[in-house]
Parts: sequence; C-alpha cells; structure tokens
Amino acid sequence: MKGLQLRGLTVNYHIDDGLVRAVDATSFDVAPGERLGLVGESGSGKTTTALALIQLLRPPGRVDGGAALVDGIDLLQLSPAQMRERRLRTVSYIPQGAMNSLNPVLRIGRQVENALIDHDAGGDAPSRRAIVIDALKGVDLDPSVAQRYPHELSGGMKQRVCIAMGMLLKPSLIVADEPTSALDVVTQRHVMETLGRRQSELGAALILIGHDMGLMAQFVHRIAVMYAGRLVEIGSTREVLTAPRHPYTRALVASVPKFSDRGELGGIPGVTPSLRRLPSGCAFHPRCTMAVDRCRLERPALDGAPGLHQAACHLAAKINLAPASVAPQGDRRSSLVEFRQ
Amino acid sequence: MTVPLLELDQVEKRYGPVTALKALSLTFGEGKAPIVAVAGESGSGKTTLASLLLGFTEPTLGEVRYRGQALRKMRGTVRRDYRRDVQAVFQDPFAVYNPFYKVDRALSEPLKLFGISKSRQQARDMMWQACEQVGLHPEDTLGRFPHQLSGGQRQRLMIARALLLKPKLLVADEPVSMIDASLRALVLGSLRQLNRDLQIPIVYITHDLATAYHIADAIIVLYRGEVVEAGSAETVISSPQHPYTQLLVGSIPWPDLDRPWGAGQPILKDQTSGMPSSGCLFAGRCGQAMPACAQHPPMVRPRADTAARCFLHRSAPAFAAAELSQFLSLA
Repeated sequence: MKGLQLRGLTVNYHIDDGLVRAVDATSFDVAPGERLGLVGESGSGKTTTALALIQLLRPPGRVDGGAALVDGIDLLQLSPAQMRERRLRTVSYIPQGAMNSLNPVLRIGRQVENALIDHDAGGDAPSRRAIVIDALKGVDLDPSVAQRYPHELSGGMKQRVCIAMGMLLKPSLIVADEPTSALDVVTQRHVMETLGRRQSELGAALILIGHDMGLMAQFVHRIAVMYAGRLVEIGSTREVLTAPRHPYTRALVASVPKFSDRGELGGIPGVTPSLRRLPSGCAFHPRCTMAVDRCRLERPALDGAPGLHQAACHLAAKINLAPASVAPQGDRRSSLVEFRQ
Repeated sequence: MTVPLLELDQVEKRYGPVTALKALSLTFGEGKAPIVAVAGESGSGKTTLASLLLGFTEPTLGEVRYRGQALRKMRGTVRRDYRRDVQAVFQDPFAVYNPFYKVDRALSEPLKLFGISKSRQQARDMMWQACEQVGLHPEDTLGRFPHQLSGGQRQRLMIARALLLKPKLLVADEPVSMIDASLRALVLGSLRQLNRDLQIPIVYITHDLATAYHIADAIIVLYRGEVVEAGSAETVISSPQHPYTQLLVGSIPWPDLDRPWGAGQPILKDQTSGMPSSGCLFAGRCGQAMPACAQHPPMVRPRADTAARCFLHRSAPAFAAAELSQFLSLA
C-alpha cells in the first residue's frame, strides 16, 4: 500500500492531574500524489497529529494507540534510531518557520549536503554537490545560493531551501505545518507552488496543516477538519467548502473573507473548549447554534464510509439538505491541473 | 481652517542608506472616520508608517504634527492628550499583557493614568461596558489572567482598552495576523463596529488584502517605502491598476473555488542583485517594464477613485500628492 494510512491515532498528554486526550482515535488515508489539508483552531490537535507522525512529540505527550503506515512501515512503532533513518526518506516534515532552523554560520550548500551525509546518501563529494545544485534548482533557486549564508536570503528563499532539503531523499509522505504563515501573499504563492510542484513530481502524499481556508481551497484535494482532538468532517475540498455538513465546518467556512460577498464577516462565537474539561456529548455543542438534547448526551461518530464525505454530527443528515453557505461555480480541477504543470 | 488632529508633512524615514518610507503627506481631520488599510510586503514601510503615527520613531525629514504642534517638541499635557487621542492595537496579543497581572490591569491603568474614572466603581462599570461593546462577556473576561483567554479574546480586550480612552484615531498594526482564522472575523467586526459607532478613523496596517477588502473604505499600497496605488478599497482590490497591486491581489488565496490562485500572474524572480534605487522601484520585478521606467513615475489618476504610480497610465490626469488625504476621505 502506497501513501499514508493513519488508523486510530490516539495521543495523550500525561500530566500530573491525569490524562489529556489531544488526539482521539483519528483515522484517514492520503493517497500518493494527493494533498490533504488538516484544519482546525489552536488546540484542535492538528499539529499534535503531525508531530506524532514523525515522532517529535515531547513528553508529557505520548502516542497511546493507533498505526501510521507508510510504504508498509508503521511510523509509530519505529525506535528513535530507526525513525531518524526514515526521516527525509519515508517522511519529511516542513515546520512553521522552517527557515529559522537553518544554521546561520553554515553556507546553504553545506547544510543541504549535510542532510545527504547524515543519511549515507548521494555518493562521493562531487556527486553530492551535483545533487545539492539540482535540489536548489528544483525549488527555483539559483545554484549560486549554495555559496550563500542564510542571512543573505529572503524568507521565501530560505523556506524553499527547507523544501529542497525535505525532498532530497524522495519521501513518500510530506507533512507541512503552516509552511508559509510568516510570509506575505506573493512569497507564499511562490513557496506553495514550489512545494506543490515538487510533491507532484515525486508522487508523494502530502498533509498541509493550517487554518487558512483560502490556502486550503487553492492547494489541497481533500480537507479534514479537527475539533477538540477529533476529526469532525472529511471530504473533497469542493464538498467541504461548498456543502459543509458539520456546523463547525459551516461556521469556519463562513468566517473566511471571500471575494464574492464584500463586507460579510461571520465569526464563531465562544472559545475552543479546554481539553482538560471537554463538554459532554459533542464537544462543539456549547458553541453550536443547532444543538439539540442528544448533542449534550451522546458523542457523534463519523458517518458514512471512509473515502466519502463524512461528518461527525447527529444532525449532519439534515444539514446536508440545507443550502450551503457558499456556492462557487466553475471547475476546481482546471486550477489544479495548472498547478501540477 | 481648523487645525487637523494629526498631520504627516512630507515625512521621510531613513535607516542608514535604506529609505524605509519616502516623503509622504497625510492629514487626519476631525469628523472623518474612514478605515484606511495600508498594505504591502515585508519591508514596504507599513510598520514604519505606524511607528511614525504613534510617535515611536522620529522622521528623518519632514514633521509629524498633533493639533499643529510638532511631535518631537511636545511635552507635558499636550503630549498626554496625544497619547490618549491616538491609540494602538498591536500585532501580538500575547506580548502586550503582563502575565503576572489579571487582564483588568491593562484597562484600569490607563483609566487611572488619564484620570478618566472618578472612582473604582466607575472604572469597573466602564470596563464592563467596554467589554460588552467588543462582544466579550465581562464576567468571563475580567478577573482572569492573560493565559486564560484566547488570542481573539485578548485582542478584543485591547480594542476595548483603546475604546475606553475615546481616541480620535486608532492605529491597528496587523491586529489579526496572529489569531486563528475563525476568530479573525470577530476581531475585525469589533474594529469595524468601533469605527462606525464612535466615528473613530482607523489605520489598518496589514499584508492581508482579503481582510482589507472586507473592512476598509480606502487603501494605500506601499512598495519599498513608496505609495504605488491608493484609492477606494473595493475598486483597488477588485481591479488594481499598478502591476505590483495586480501581483498582490492575484496572489491572495481566496476560498472561492472559481477564483484560481495567481491567475495570469507570473512568479517573481528572486532578487539576487541590488534593487533599483532610482526610476520605478518595481521595474526590476515588473512584467510590463519599459524604457520609460528608468525615470521615476509620477502619481496619476487612472480612475476617479484610484491613483497609481505607473507609466502604463501616463495619459491619465495628474494627481497631486497633497490631494491624497482628501482622496482617501481622511480630511
């Protein structure tokens, strides 16, 4: 099986006064070449999910269940030494502000080359250097960048260096956690187009973590929405944006400034619940305008079959019939095709 | 003629050899209350402009005047009045609070300092009311520590603080860039309500044109310290005239599936050599550059409600820099 199969991932924070469940039995698949957007507010579990996949969770956080299969390897079962070997080869992580992880006193070329050396890859020195130059060209950087220090590059260029490093050993899975949150829109587009192009060339599965629904709409094929540690909705980008089935997703979609209705701004009142004291039943019910008694008592599970447009809401069947809050026209595929060229 | 509240008179700011903001004149009159967005990439001079308006930095050339008095010479009560009249909302809702004190202190201190409240009870009532005005439940907000509130709540509390002082001008520097998308709309809604209800003009500094499009009346687009386009926010963002604004607007990832990202806009080449310092500052990255761009382009008026600094519109009527404030409905 290619791509990622995540099954029942459960992460707890083991703190003095007990367990806090940050990610609760979360499952989804990402096919090779596919891009999945993982969205949610701060504290929804999206970054914890990413950190669990690459074993970078720090205590008191701990994976307490589930499997994450990539190329038949369960990433969650690897020893730290095995995981170190698999990073860049099987799974690459591009964190928020990755550019700040560059070593300020080493030239760019040297840093990229070090990644090869660490993994006993790339052959002898001349061939390693050729690989480095190719990697830089692959992310639209001039080969002369290899001779430069990080402070000589712009934020967007540094972020593309990090993408080049992430792609060096052709990973099967790329996890990008808000890779452009500190960049302006013009630079953001350049970085995301570069990331998208390299990912398509490698045929890697990609998870993009973030809360910018605009970026998601323009970049990913499917969207998974997390709330208070649980997956509450998953479906194609078009389905989730135009016909959201969970009231939280509907509010999230409505809160994003759109071009079509200027001046309309809808927010989600209330606060993300504390994971230490989750509301009973559906965790969203205190903020939900549609909540009924059942929502306070019984926790809804994802409906439907995996791979379809699923939602975890007692009322999802009814919501599906209501008109969507946004109704864009045109075919999304056309823009994706452009993207992949 | 009445003396304007705040005036930038040919203000220029240089840091060594770098010009962060080129000669800019803006007047904030009283009785006008637009939301003016100031947009541009990192290094465009937008935060320099905010620092100048707030008196955090002194101009290299020109003068910033509050009620006719130069900011750098102001002392005593006039300076205090200025500090009260011109309020700010900053980018980072985490850094502005002292974690050792309850959030109330951020509101009660200025009330005390400016002698606005006569008693503790009155201060309490005013704080309570200010919270309600920005859509916060006072009982869930006051009496808490900063870490107990979300970023959106903290930022709205900052707006409540600004509101308590009944300012005449509010400078909001990237007020929502560090807040979750689902809460941004609420914070922006509070700002807009404050603007409409209390008739307070707002300078909204941002690199996010999508939110500028939604809440601003007018917009100024800066590129490397210079105004390249200005006018009605709606017209500028729905049909930009300057190639740089076109690139900015084309790069907004709209959540509308029928607006493909970057349609028709090329990716900018990395600037590996020095940037031009004369002529059009954008020419080196512009797809439509021509020989004329070696000269410095003047501002022209391609449309009734838009001014742009580009030779593509050379046949358009001239635009005097002095008109800018009236043009943006600021004065």
